[in-house]
Amino acid sequence: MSQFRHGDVMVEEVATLPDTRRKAQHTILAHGELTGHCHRIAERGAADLYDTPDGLFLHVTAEVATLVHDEHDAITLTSGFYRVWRQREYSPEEIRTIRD
Amino acid sequence: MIMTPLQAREHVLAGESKAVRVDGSIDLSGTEVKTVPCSITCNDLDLSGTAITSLSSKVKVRSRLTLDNCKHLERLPTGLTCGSLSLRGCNFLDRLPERLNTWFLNASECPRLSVWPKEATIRNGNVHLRNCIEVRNLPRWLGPLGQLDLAGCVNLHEVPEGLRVSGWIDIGGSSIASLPNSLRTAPLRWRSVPVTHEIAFEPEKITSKQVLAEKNAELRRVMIERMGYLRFSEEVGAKELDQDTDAGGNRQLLQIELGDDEPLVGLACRCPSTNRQYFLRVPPQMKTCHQAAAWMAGFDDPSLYRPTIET
Repeated sequence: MSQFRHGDVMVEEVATLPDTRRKAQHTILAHGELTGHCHRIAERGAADLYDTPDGLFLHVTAEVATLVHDEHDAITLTSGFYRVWRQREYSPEEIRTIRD
Repeated sequence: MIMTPLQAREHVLAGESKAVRVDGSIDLSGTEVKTVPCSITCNDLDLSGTAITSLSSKVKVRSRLTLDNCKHLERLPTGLTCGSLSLRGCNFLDRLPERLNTWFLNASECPRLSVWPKEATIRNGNVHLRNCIEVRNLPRWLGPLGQLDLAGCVNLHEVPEGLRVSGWIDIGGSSIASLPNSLRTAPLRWRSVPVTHEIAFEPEKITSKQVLAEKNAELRRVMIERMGYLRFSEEVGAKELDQDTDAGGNRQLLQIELGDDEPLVGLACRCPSTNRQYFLRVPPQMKTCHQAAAWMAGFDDPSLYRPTIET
């Protein structure tokens, strides 16, 4: 299954979506709180984003959807299902996700 | 109907609809219960780890209501009143209910929580919002409080003027760069470690000499994090454990010995799009750049990390 790294956001192709899910009203995969930029799908109606107990999942419903960010080069995702998560950074006290 | 706590538990698990009054605590944690079908009045109610999606307004808890790790919970009833409310790890919860009235609130690890009620009362106790990454503001009606934990609230930039906290306020890893006058003298913490206002708000003044002279290992870790791993590693000189090339160019796995503490190991790399340099800390047992990059991406087994595109 293909993996993509878009800044600190990881995207991996998966076979299916989790059964328990809630459709989000947007297709912003992640906010970059320090820079104010976000990782998002450029085209309207090309993909659906879902909250699930196992994290975020993306369903690209169009033939292709483009993952964009103001500071990172775009990545083209083809039709299918994807799991979306953020990179982690080590801390001796706790492990937390990092954001650019 | 007045019941013992055990009878009430069986009553709810059986899906009975008759109203129940209990002079004690009902523990339904970890059960298969998906809904509370009857009116309940009790002192404490624990529904942790259940699959409930909402809570009825007919549930009246006098003291402690615990809904930790209710991964499907989406809604709480308007006017919810209890002494203490714990909502830790509720993945789907994006708002607190209107006219909520409680003394203690623990909503840590609620990644979607973003909407505050227009009108509510949370005062006198502690409020814990650790790692609530979508919290972008705090309401003006909040407090006064005993403790306020905002660690990891990465999208929270300010605390409202007038908020009073008699104990400590934890701002570790939040985006808060200063505090209002009403909190100017409040003791500060950085992810549980007591810190000075200088460490929290003027990290550019921290020097590697100061860091190496600090005897407390926890405080030293916070000081290094605040001054930035990249600047610290440049100032003290780091040992190269490995180097290779990725989409951003050359990258190095670097190690710095910290005496009585575990060594600081990090991947120094460049973003392929911006060419900006980063030093990202990884577990000290990492041996190669690829292993470190894979760990950061969430893979404990480096062979599973094979990105086809990195930008």
